[in-house]
Amino acid sequence: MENLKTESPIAQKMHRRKKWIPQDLGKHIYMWIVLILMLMPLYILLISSVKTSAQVLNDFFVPTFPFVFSNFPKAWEIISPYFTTTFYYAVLNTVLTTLVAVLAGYAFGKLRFPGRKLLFMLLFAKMFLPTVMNLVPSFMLASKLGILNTAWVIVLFCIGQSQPYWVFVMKTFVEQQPKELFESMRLDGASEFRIFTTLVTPLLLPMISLMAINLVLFSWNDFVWPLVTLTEDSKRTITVGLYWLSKSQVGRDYGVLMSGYLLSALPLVVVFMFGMKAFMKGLTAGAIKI
Amino acid sequence: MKKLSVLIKEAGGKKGILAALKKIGLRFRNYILDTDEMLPGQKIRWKRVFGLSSLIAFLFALPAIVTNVIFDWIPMFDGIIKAFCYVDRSGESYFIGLENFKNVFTDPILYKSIGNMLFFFVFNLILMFPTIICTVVMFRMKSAKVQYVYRVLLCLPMVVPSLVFTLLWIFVFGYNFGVMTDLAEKIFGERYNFLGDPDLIKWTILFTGIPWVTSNNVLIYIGGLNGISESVWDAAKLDGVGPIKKFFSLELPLIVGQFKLVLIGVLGASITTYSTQLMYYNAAVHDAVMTPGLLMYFKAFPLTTVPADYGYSYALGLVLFVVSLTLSLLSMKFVKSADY
Amino acid sequence: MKKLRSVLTVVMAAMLAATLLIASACSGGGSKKEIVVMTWHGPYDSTQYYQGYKYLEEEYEKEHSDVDIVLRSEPDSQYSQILETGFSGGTAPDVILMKSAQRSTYLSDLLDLTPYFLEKSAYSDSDRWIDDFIGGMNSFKLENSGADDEAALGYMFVPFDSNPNFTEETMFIFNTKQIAEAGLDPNDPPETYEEFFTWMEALRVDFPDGIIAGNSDVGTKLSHIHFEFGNHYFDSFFDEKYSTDDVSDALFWDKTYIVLTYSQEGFEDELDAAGRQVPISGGPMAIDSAPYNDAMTEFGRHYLEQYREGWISTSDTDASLLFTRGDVPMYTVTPNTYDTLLSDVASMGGDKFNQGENATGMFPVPYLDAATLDYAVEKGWITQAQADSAEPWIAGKYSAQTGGQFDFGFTVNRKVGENQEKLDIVIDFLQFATSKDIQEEYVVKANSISPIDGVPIPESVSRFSSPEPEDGYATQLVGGYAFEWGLGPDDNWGVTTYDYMLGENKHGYKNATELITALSDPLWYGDILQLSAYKEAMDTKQAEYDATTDEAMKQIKELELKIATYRYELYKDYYYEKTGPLTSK
Repeated sequence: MENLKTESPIAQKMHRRKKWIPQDLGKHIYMWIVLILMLMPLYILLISSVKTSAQVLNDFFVPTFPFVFSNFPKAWEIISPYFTTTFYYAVLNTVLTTLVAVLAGYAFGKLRFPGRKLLFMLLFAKMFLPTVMNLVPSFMLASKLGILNTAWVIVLFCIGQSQPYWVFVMKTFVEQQPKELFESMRLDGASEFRIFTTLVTPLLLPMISLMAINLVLFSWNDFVWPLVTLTEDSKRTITVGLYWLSKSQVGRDYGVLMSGYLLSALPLVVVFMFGMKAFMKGLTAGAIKI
Repeated sequence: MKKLSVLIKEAGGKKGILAALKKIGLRFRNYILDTDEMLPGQKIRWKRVFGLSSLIAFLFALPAIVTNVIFDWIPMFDGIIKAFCYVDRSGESYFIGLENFKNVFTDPILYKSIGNMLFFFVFNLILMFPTIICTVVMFRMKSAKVQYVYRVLLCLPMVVPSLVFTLLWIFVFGYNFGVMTDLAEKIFGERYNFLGDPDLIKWTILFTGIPWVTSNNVLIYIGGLNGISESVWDAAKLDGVGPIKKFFSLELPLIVGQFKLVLIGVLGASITTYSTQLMYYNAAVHDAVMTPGLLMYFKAFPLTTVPADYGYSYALGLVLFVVSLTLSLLSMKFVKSADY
Repeated sequence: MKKLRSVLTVVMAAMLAATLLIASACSGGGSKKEIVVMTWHGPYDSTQYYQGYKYLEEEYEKEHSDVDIVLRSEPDSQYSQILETGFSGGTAPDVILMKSAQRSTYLSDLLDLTPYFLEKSAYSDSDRWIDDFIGGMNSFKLENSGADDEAALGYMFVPFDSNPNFTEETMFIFNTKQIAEAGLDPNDPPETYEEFFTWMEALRVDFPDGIIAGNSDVGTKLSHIHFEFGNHYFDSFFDEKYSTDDVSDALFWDKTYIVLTYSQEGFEDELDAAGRQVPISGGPMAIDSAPYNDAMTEFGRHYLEQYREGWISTSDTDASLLFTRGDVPMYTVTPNTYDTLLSDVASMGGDKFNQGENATGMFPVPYLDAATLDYAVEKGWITQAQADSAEPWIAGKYSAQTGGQFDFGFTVNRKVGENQEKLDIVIDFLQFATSKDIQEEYVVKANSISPIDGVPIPESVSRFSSPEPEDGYATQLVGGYAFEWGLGPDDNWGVTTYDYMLGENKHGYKNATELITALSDPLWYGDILQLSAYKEAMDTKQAEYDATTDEAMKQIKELELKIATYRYELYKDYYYEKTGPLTSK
C-alpha cells in the first residue's frame, strides 16, 4: 500500500476516485515524447563517439559495431589541455566565489557594522542592472590590468559578477537562522572567525552546495568571455576549444570529435552524481522567493 | 516606522518640523551606520558600532564589495562614460559628445538587427509555454516516485555543455552531410541550405530549441506547485472539470508568480541576446542573424582585419542597457500591480 | 555533529590552501630568462610550423639552459586584434611573426634590426648576418623604423618561412577517375583560366551542384581571380621614375597606401585626435574606376559559381570530406594538408577514386591571359569594351606575390630594446634560428621554405609552386586590394561582395564600379606618417651617405638615399600636398 502522505495532494485525491487510464497514458506518452527529444542528442553523442567518421555520416541514427574505442585517446590528446585549464578555472571560481559570498552573506545577515545596509544595497541593486554593456569595458579593464590570457581574467570577473545574486541568497538564508545559535557561541567567547568556520559554514552547507554546483555549471559552459579573453591556444576553455576544433581540419574525423564532446561532459556527470539531490532540492524548494 | 506626513502632523507646527527633521536625521544615521532606533533612555553603544567586531564584520563583507565594484560596477560606469568618447585602439579616449550615437542610429544594419531581435523576442515568449505544459503534466503524475524519475531524466542533458548541443545541431543541419537536410530533401524534394539561407536561418535557430522545455524552469515551477497544501485543492471544485479548465483555475494561478520572474528574465535576455547568433553567423546570413547585441560585439571584436570601432560598440551597449533596464523595470511594475 | 563540523572545516581549509598553492605555482616563473615567441600556428593546426618552432626551441634551450623560450600561438582570425590590445596594453610578446600588412600597421612598435643585420652572426661564417640570406641586402625592404611618427628607415623583420623567389601556392587537387569520366585528360590539367573554365563546363554535367569543394571563406576564393588583375596598375598613377626596377619593389607599399587611402575629395578641414590629416571618407577613390574592375568582378562571380553549392556555410571539415569521399571532383590543397588529404582518400574514397598513386592529380591555380578574356566575351560574361580595357592589366602568366624581396618573418618588439640582456638573447636566438644547419633541419620538420641561401626546399613544398615563365613571374598584381583594403556597408567586404555576386544584391549595385565605390574607404590612413617624418628619414639617409667612405657601402647607401627621397616626394606630391583627384595615366 503506498504511503499516501508522500504523494501530492491531487494524487491523493485521485487515489480515492476511479482511475482514469486514458489520461494517465496520455501523460506518460507526452513525457516520453519530450524526453526522447531532449535526450536524443545525448544518445547520438554516445553512439557516435565509438564510430569511424564514415559511420557517423552514413549510419547516423543507429549504433554500429564494433565500437571504435580508439576515438577516446585521440580525442583526449587533443582536448586534454582545454580540459585541465577549465577544470582549474572551475575549481578556483567555485572555491573563491563561494568563500567570498558566504563571508559577505553572513556579515550582512547576522553581523552589524557601519554601512551594512548601504553596502548591501550596492550589491542588491546591481542584480537589476543588465550586464549587456559590460563586455567591452570589462575587456578593456582586463587588458589594462594585464590579466588577459591568465586564469585571473576568468576568476576575478566571475567572483565580482556573481556577488549580487549569491550574497542576496546567502544573506536571506542566514537571516532565517535563529540568532540564539550565534549568540551562544559568542557568549562562550569564540572569535568571529571561529564562529564562521565551525557554525556558519556547516549551517549553510545546502546553499553552498547549490551555489557550488551552479558555479561549476557556469564555468564549464561559459563561452563568449573566454572566447574573447583567452585567445591563446594553451589557455582556452573547453567550450572555446571545442568550438575552434569543430571548424578546423583537425576535427575532420567526426567520430573523434563526438568522443571529444562526450569527454567534455564527464566532469559535469561527476558533479551531478554527487550534487543531484542538493541541486534539485534547491530548485524545487523554491528557496529563492523575491 | 511612521510616515513623514504623519510625523509632521503629530509634532504640530515649526517646533514640530524641527523635531521631524531630527527624526529624519536619526533615521538616516541609523541606515548609514547600522545603528538601531533608540527608545527614550537608551544610549547607543558606540563602542559596539565602531568596535573590533564591527571591523571584522566589515572585513568579512569587504572582498565581495571590492570585487563587485571593480569587476562589475566599474565596467558599467566605464561603458556609460566612454559611450560619449572616441576610443582609439590603445584605449585612450577623447570626448566627442553624441557622435557615436549618431553613427549608431544612422546605420541601416541597426534597424535590420532590431527586426531580428524582435523576431527572437516574440518567439522566446511564445516558446515559454511548452515548459509550462510539461510542468503541469509532470505535476499531475500520480506517483511521486515516477515524478522524481522524470525530473532526473529531464536534468540529464545539463551534464553536456550547451555549446555542444549547438555544435551538434549545426552538424545535423549542415548542407552537405546533415541528416536533417537529407530528410528535408526526401520530404520536400529540394535541398535546403538551413544554415546558409537568410530566409531559413532564423527558423533553424528556433527549431534547435526543440522540445522547448527548460528543465531548470520546470523544476522551479514544480517546486512552487508542490508546496501547496491540500486544503487549497479541496477548496477548488474538481468534479466534472476538464483538464484544461483545471489548469486555468488551479495550476496557473499558483505558478504565475514564478512565471512572472522567469518572464522578466526572458524579456531582459531577448533584448541583448547574441551568443547563439554568433555561432550561426556566416557571410550569407549576415543580415538575417544580426542582432543589436551581435552588432555591438562585432564592432569591438571584428571578424576581419578591419579596425575596431569601440566608440560605436560602447554607444550601442549603452542603448541596449537603457532599453533592457527600462523593460525590466516596467515589467516588474506590471508584475507587482497585476498581483492585486 | 561536532566532529562533522571540524572535519568540514579542515576539508575546506585544505581545498582553499590547495587552490591558492596551485594559483601561485602556476603564475610563478623561475629564474630563467623568458622569451615569448608568438605566431598563429598552433600545435593542432593542420600545418607543421609549430613542430618546427618547437624544434628551434628545444635545440636552443639545449645549448642555453638559462633561457626559456615560450611559444605562444593565437588564432589567425584574432591575431590583429591581439596585436592591437597587446601593443596598447604593453603586453605584446618579444618576438612576433607578422604578415606584411600587419607589420606596416605596427612599425612604430617594432625594433629596428638594421645594426644586427650588419654585424657578424655568431652562427655563420659570413661577414654580416644579412649576407646569409638569399639575395643578401637586395632582398630586404627598407621600412619606417622610427618610433611614434619619428623618422628613419631600416630593416624591421627577420625573414622566415619564405624565399624571395618562390611563392608557395595553393593548388587544386582533383579526382583523376572522375576527371577522366567527364572526358577530360587527367594528365593535361588547365594552365590558363580559359582552359580551367572549359574543364568546369565538362565536369558540370556530372556535378551540377558544383565542382570544387570549398569552405566559407570568401576572400581566399576571390583572391584566385583578383590577383590576376592590376599588373603594376598602381605605377600608372605616378611619374615613371618611381617605377624603375631598382626602386619599384621598395616603393610598392607606399604607392599602395597612397592609391588606396587618398580621397578624390581631399582632406577634412579638421585634423583627427592624433593630429593627422583625414581623407574624406565615403566618397570616390582612385581605385573605383580601375579599367579592369568590371572584368575582374564578373570573373570573380563565375569563379565562385564553380564551388559546390552551400559552400558559404560549410566548414573546413565538411569541405575536405566532400572531396575525400568522392562527392566532388576537386578541392584546394596546400603543402600542409596534402598528406592528410591523400590518406583520407585512401581510407574513405572507396571506388570513387582510382587506386594507388594516381588517385589524385594536382595543378597550380591558373593564370588569366588574353585568350581567357576572349573566351569570356564569347560567353557573354563581359563586353568587348570591358575586355579591352582590362587587357593591359592582366597577369598573362604565372605570378609570384613576392616580387624578389622578402616580405614576411619575425619582428621584435621595440620594448625588448630597452633591456640589453633580453635583446642579446633575442638576437642570438634569431641568428641561431636562421643559421644554415638549423634551417636545414627546420624546413623538413616544419614543411616550410628557408630564407637562407643554400638550404634546399623540401620536396613536399617544392612541388607546390607554379612553373616560372621564361621572362619571370608576373608581379605587383593589385586587383584584389580594392576589396581587401575596403570596408563597405556590412563592415565586411566578403559579406557585401558575396551578396552582390551570389546573393540578393540587397544594396542594389548595378555594376562593379558601384560595388567597389561602396567598399573603398581610406580606412588605413593612420599608418601613413607625417610628411616631416619622411623628410627626416631622407635627411638621415643623406647624412649616412655623406659619412660613408667604403665604396661598396656607398653604392648601397646611394640606393637607400634614392628610395628615401622618392618616398618623401611621393607622399608630398601625391598625398599631402595634392589637390584634385588622383588619376591613372
